[in-house]
Amino acid sequence: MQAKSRRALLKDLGLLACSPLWAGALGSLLPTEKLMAQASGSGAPLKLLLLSFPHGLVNGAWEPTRLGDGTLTFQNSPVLAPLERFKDKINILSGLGFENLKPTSILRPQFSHGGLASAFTGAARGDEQGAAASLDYLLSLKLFGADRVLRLGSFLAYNAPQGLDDAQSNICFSGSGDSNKLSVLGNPRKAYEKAFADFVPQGGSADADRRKQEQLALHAALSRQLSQMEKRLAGDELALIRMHQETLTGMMQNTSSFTCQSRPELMVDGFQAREEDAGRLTQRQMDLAVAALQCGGTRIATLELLAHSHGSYNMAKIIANDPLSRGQSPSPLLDTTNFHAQIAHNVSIGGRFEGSATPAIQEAFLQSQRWFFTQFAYLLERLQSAGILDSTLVMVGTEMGSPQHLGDSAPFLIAGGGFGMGRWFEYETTRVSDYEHRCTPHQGLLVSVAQRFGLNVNTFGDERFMGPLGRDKRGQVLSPV
Amino acid sequence: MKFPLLGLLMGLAVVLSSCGGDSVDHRRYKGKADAGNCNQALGAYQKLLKPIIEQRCVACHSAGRSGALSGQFAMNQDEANVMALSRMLGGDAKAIYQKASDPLKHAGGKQWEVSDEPKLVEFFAALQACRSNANQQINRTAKLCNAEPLPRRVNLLTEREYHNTVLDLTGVDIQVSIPAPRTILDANGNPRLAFANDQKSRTIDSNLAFSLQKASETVVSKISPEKRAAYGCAADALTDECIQRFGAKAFRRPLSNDELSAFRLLGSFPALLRFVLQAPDFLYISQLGDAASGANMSAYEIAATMAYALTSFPPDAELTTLAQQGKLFDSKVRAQQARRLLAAATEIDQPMVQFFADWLELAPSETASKTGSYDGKAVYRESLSFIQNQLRKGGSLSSLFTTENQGRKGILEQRAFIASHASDKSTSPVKVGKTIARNLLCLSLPPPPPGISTNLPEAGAVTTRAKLEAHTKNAACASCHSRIDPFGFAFEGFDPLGQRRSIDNGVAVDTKASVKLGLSFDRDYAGSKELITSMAESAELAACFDSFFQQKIYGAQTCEAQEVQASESITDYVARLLSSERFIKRK
Repeated sequence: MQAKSRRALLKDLGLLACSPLWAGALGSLLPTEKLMAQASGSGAPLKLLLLSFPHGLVNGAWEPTRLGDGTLTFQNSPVLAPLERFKDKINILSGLGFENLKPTSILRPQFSHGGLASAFTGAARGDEQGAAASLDYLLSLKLFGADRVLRLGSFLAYNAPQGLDDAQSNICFSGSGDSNKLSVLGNPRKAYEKAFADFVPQGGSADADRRKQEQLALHAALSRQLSQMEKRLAGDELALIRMHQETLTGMMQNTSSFTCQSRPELMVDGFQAREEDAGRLTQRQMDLAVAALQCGGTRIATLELLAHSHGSYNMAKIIANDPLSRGQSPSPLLDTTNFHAQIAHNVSIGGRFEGSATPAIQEAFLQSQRWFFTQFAYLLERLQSAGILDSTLVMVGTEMGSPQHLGDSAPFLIAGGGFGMGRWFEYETTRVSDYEHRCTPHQGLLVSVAQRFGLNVNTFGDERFMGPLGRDKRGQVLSPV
Repeated sequence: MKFPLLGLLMGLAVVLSSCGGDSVDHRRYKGKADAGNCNQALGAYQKLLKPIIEQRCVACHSAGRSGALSGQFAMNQDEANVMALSRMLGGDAKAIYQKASDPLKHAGGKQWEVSDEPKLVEFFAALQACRSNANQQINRTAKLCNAEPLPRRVNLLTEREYHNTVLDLTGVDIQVSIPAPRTILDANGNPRLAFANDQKSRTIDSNLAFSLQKASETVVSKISPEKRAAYGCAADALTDECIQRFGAKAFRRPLSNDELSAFRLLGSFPALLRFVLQAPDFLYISQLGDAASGANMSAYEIAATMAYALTSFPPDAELTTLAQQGKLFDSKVRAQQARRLLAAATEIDQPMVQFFADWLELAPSETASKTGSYDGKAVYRESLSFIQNQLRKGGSLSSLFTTENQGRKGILEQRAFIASHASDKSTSPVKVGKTIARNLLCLSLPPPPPGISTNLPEAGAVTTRAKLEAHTKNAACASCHSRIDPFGFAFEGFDPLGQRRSIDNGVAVDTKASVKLGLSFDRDYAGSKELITSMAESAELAACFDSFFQQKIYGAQTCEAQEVQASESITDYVARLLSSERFIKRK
């Protein structure tokens, strides 16, 4: 597919006019009633937190169980069990698929590495990573007129000093094309500084005002130099500079909206990019995201856990050293740096535990993926403790529907507020044969979430798929609250 | 003609099946093939298929449309459409006919009539003649493909360049994380190795802008009085001398009068320093040209582009003086300067060494976690030393790949290459083979096709090789693995740590490899030493090296190729590249 230009895409979504380059028109596009519509059921402004994790899941082994009285239990699912206490705050969404990765109208799946890019963009084809603008970025433009997403990652590069460095995001894009990948902060120290860089206690201060004025003058001067460059560039080369220009313009806007009286205190030093620290590092990045959302520094945050599947790490070491996993004895099969190829690739046929997967391999895979859900439980607990769980929509996605890089039946969860929770939505999926499914396009979920935040869209990422999520096989509909 | 027919010749050679034929980056090969045979294919397309394709296929299978293989066809793009057809279903006329004439299998319904099948067969017969001819040209000397200059552009400093530039300018040692891609897509849409300076994958978003802002504050607080005094900036109050000297050093060119006036308004040296360290003219290596330089980069831009390419530092005094004198438009001067800069690069991780380490993907060896006694830092450093020694001796591609060192042949038998391309407990002929095929020979490798199971039974296989061979007995797997695995099998005489071995899991290793890919060095090999010897002298390796080196130098893929011989000294090659007209031209 010929990728749409970034500006064309924003225009389609009705967002071009509120991009920072059009900051002058911004005020008129965010009327009070629109912002009110975005409030959560609790009355507080609704916040968004996106999470991604690698390797996918195996269908039939991660879903909840319906009890006789119609309620759900997560206890029977080795993966979901850590979330049992939050089951009333979670919607499980099964049967969704990355249909965009598949050839049109042909019941063939597409092996690809484009799943992560698809999860929150609705776009991408096959191995194409370029994708299109992601949900977090577009909502940030809508809400703030600038990219004010706090994008965090945990353990972004395998066992290397670079693991704490910033990295190109696998899920967040500002538009189509490689040049529009956004970056992710892997170091809690830096993430903390970024999250609270503009912190001003409520009421402000003369010193803060002076510094703000200096920043405005500086950014205006930088912007002028960029404008000179723009005059001599065209095409892709120009697009890169325009993104920089947008960044500057966003920084010039006075959007500080902190609601807390002081910066939260968090220990953000002493981490290394190694398996022994992965658990603590992940939890600290979650703490940071929660603190930033609670304090009003941002309303949108993104967390990428352990990069994507091909960053090989030793899950046995991660589990053994994670305070949240104490008492668990990691499977010996997890003692490898080639988890994805050795374990994940071998667990299923057509997305279910069948065929050659031995019980030991299945157990190893589930133990690995349970670790991620243990982290999600930690996050929900932190949000609850901060009093913002009901005003935060948490959306969890992964890079593939089954660990053989299929876009079939990609698992999604949403939690917190924004929609009625506590249900398991089973969307229509037609199994044709091994590796061949027709799933409900996950773009519907992206549309539903975007609409919940006031974005006036009926398609997201791939215009072949229209509308929000409809009724599932039981006639249930995702309902905003 | 937008897409020259001669380019098409080699293009057809490379895309006749998703993983068959000679899937090299086709645009780099052009030249001496007999156009007659491909004219026949083009003629057959225009006579037999053009109306069908344009009337029935373009609507769905063109850029931005919904059809599978979207983007493959376009109106009035005969040569591109011929190439698209050649890629389709392995170039199998019958399969294409069956697919597009079956309403159950073809989303667009029945589009081919019975009478169309012979047309497809005739077209593909003509195409085959073209292909056979084109195959023979892959080993020929590559030529410039269209002589179009590169576009004007700016290239964001890499993390290393930023560090070096701030250090050179202010004396402050500071790191800013500037994310870089791991892979980009090649001309066929398949993954290709990316370098840290890839121009189209990096921009300044809010995270990076914040980091640069923080770094500027740190530099303001750490710059020494001596360094400030050297620019005439000892006092906080700005003087014209301070602005001009510091600004010129930072922007790698003299300031204009307008800039001087504008920067006076910044008020103080700390404010100037904060501005400069976040300024586009500091952060981007400019290749925009100016009124005086016409179609070329400006002299100062040439100086900076040369300096960063070969040293990762901004231009030194000699380059800056030559730019001031306008002498860098002289190709001989550029060649002399290239040799000077290369000779002065003595660090073990200097950019030329780093290029080879990146190209061969040696860095994973440094941080790899291995079962057994393994010092990754020593292993990686050993490989860098080997490369640096070869460069210092005026080595060639051939010598880099074939010089014996402690019984190991060239860089590919160094522990770092083996360890980087193995798992913690087992070797990976696929990883070894993929890097050789993709990075060293520029064979285009698409991802696995749909419907392939990656967990095939291993049927009692014991060695890594045997397991892989069992896996790839599946015909669908074999189409690509036949292009990958033979290179990896030749290296099975090394264990995952890069040590020699004769036994794998209790069974004697088999290092025999049969290369049958239409390459100039197709034959059976007993093991890695034989394979390396043949490959090192091959035109494919030389051309692919040139392709990646130019990608590194220009920060972007380029279809233009420069003639290179395996036996030529690498220094001579680099000097020729930087002294070329293309190096300085921008449109």
